[in-house]
This record gives sequence, C-alpha cells and structure tokens, in this order.
Amino acid sequence: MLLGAVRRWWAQVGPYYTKPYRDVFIGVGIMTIIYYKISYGGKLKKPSH
Amino acid sequence: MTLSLFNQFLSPSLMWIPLAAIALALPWALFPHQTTRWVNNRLLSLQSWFLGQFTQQIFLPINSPGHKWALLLASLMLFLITLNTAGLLPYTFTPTTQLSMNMGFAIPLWLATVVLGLCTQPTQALGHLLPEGTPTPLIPVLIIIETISLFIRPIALGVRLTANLTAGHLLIQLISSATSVLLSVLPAVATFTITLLFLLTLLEVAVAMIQAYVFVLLLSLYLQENV
Repeated sequence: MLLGAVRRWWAQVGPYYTKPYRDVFIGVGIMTIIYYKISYGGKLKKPSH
Repeated sequence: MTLSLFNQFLSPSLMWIPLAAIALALPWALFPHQTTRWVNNRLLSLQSWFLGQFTQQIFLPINSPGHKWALLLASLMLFLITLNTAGLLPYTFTPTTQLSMNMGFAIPLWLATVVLGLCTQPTQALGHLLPEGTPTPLIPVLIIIETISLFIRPIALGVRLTANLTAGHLLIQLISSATSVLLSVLPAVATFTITLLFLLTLLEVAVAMIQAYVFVLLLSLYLQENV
C-alpha cells in the first residue's frame, strides 16, 4: 500500500524532479551545507570531555 | 522566565519535539486534493479557479520552456500565503518569520534561474548585466553595479519576506500590549489604540498576501529573464 502510494507520487512528480528542478537541487545542496556549517560548526560529533 | 518581544518568533517545541513541522504541514492539510470527478464541490472548484487564474497571470509573460515551473511557483504561492495568513491568528507560529526558511526558498530558486539562463542561453543571460543604450564610459561601472544587484536578489527576496512579517507581528504585539495596559488606566486612549490595532490587523492580512505574491512574482520575473 505504501509502495503503491510512493509509486503513484513518483509518477506524478518524477518528471519534474528529474528534469526542470535539477537546477534547484544545486541550491538546495548549497543551503544544506551552509545550514550544517552554521548549526554544527562543521563538527559531526560534540567532543566528549 | 523573562519574556522579550521576540519570544513569539522562537521555533515552538514540546518536550524537545520541534512543532515547526506541524506548522509547515498545515497548508498541505488545509487544502483539498484534486478528485477524478467531472464537477467538484464548491471549495475545490474555487481552489482550482484561483490556482488556474494565478498561474495564467504569472506565466503570461514567460516563454513556454519556463512553463515547467508552473507547479513549483503556484504551490509556493499557496504555501506562503497560507503560512502568512494562518500566522496572523493568535498563538500560531509563522514559519515565514524565520530568515532561515525564507533564504532556504530564495537562494535555491534564484540560483536555479541563473543556472538555467547560463546553461540554455549564456549570451543573453550575461547580456542582462549591461542595459541597452548605456553610454560607453559608463559600461564598466554599470556591469559591476548590475552584477552586485544580481547577487543582492536572493538576499532581498528572503529578507523582504522575513522583515515584513516580523515587523507586522511585532507591531501587533506592541500595540495590543499597550492597549491591554491602557484599558484599565486610560480607557479613552485605549479606544484609539484598539482602532489602530484593528486597522493594523487589516493591513497585516493584506501584507501577508501581498508579500507571498511579490515573492513568487519576482521569481517569475527572474525566470522570465533567463528562459
């Protein structure tokens, strides 16, 4: 049921995500990196003392 | 706990569970989905009419390759207008007061228009950096100015939406707290502040809708230049 819902969703939005919105994903990636750097300062784990 | 005027803008959480996700999912929950019926009910017909009119209005000046962005810009408009207007209700959280969210929309979408323009028509996209009819001595200065204005665009887009909504919410809080204090002390002055608060609320409803429209309109203009 869940897989069917995902397939139906992808059938509707897949043509958009794979072609016209590729340029948007560049900006999404850049923003993800910027937010990660701001939120965590580039560190994955907090140093344990 | 000492509260300041800016506490209303804190991202809400309940026992360390962030509730901002519920606020962001509200527009999806509020609007009915399309059905396969030939004639829908009144609400769905009104929604379809509004979306059709809006999309037609926005995409009239854009060339046909840009029409692929219709779904993105129409859904963005509906999302922003719902978040902005729902945030005017008491005790609600407005996600669009957060600069992080607005920049998260502005930068990727602006960058997408620039990348699209540079990939499909690089000469024309670079030609936008120099307006037609520029006197020759001014060309170097104007190219620098146009480049700066190009890079200012996403910042302006994000900050415009944030600042308008934040300022509106702050004003409402200030005037309503002044009213509640004055009601017991100087009722005559309180009637003036109540009237002011009513007019301000009307203004904020208009600003909420206009700012969402302006955000999407500017993105469509940037798309129009590059497609």
